[in-house]
Amino acid sequence: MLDKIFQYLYNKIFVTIVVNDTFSTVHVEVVSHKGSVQDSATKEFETTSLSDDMYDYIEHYTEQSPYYYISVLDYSLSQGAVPTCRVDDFSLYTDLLSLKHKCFKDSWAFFTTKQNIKEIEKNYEDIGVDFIFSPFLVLSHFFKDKLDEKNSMFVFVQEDAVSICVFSHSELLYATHKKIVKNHHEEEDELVMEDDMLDMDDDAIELDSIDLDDVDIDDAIGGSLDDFGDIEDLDSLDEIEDFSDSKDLEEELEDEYEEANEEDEKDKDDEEDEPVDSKDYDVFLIIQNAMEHFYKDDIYKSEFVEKIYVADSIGLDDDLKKYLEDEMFVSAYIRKADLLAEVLDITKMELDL
Amino acid sequence: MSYSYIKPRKKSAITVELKFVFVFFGVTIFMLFSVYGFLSFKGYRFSKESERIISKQKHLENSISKMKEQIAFIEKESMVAEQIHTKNSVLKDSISNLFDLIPQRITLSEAKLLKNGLILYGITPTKDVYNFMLQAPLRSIFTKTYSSFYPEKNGWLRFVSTNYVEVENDMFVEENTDEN
Repeated sequence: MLDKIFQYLYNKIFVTIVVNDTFSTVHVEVVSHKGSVQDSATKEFETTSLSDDMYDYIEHYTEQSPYYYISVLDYSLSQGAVPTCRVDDFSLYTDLLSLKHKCFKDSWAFFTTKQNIKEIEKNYEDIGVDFIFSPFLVLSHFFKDKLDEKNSMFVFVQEDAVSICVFSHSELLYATHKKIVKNHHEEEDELVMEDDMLDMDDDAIELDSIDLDDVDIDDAIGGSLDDFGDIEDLDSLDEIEDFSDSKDLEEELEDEYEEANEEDEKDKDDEEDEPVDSKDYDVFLIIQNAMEHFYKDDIYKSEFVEKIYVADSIGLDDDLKKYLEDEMFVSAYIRKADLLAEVLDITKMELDL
Repeated sequence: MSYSYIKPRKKSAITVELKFVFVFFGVTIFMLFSVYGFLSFKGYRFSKESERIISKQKHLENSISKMKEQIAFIEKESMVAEQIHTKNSVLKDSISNLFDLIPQRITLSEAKLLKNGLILYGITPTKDVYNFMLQAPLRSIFTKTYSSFYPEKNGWLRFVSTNYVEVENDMFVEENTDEN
């Protein structure tokens, strides 16, 4: 009774923490007892644990009200989901002993290791943790309007990890959680730079540094990218020829020079954008591998996936959609997702607000 | 249904410090109310005792007034008794004096004492004896004296002497006497 009166007097404060590879994002929302948002703020911290800055930032809000709730999205790799809620059937997919699982509508379950939960709780023991949510829960909540479709794959792309599920009529068929490997970007960046060097014919010494192994890797992994690069070069040459008809030699030289400069700038821009593109490709590879695993592994009920829905919380390019549709021959739909807002939404659902 | 791996911590606005303050104020308020209750009870008992004493006092006052009335009545009775006793003694003396007035030779058969008079019935050997030995002292006492005689068979005379005292006349007589 007394507590209800106090709840009426105080605001509710929701703190959402999403941890990535190198940084953490903290979102705070102050909600009045009537449900209106009084204050909202988001801040990134260059840490994956509870730093002093982050502690002070969260403390600044939580000290305003005793009714504050801290939610953390499970960032561990040893998590997943299984298409059963029966404990007996768990052994088909994973080892239940060290796991903590939660059933979703008595249909399927998501899990993580007890060690992970302890680690998260210990990591934030100074401020305390009220909720730890699985990315699969966020995924199912985000695509709740699409889960009842037939044989669809749902992908939730985070900064450093990808959660993938296959649902058919709201029944989970397959799930996996994969980390986006950073090493691959570095390789990719190196190769792209080398490709640029080859295109520009800038320096013969640089050519000596390329060995055949790297070229093989390039062909195996980024062959399609090279193809795109060639097409771009051809297009630019055509444009130059078209313009040459109506201009004299000096103008042509000037145009060529300007064109070359523009290309340089464009290449530089491309280099800057390259990590994003490669992330698209990394995500694509993870999805492709997951799909192969789903088709090949006998423990999963293999159905032909017709559609792929991607929840993009990091701002991917359209390349991913192109890769999926060109390479995997499925209909791909990419929907922008605000991960923090989704976790906050789930927190409110947990509290029946 | 909860989909979080852990349960949220219990939230409460009542901190340990607040609990301490609440307990302190609670105990203080309890003690205040206890003292208030005790004093109220004492006051109630005191008022009841006071009412009882007041009623007892009234009862006693009533008893005292009754007793005073009784005392007054008894005093009156006593006075009346004393007056009667005095009257009786006066009457006794009067009767004694009256009988002392009666000479040896005259015999009284009846005497009636009136409020302002005296009626004597008796036998006298002769009128003279009566007139000299009885009527003379009676006349000195009463203002009016009437005598009547009738003879007996043995020759004596039966008499009836009626004597009255008239106060005004007496006073008048006294005044006349003073003038003389």
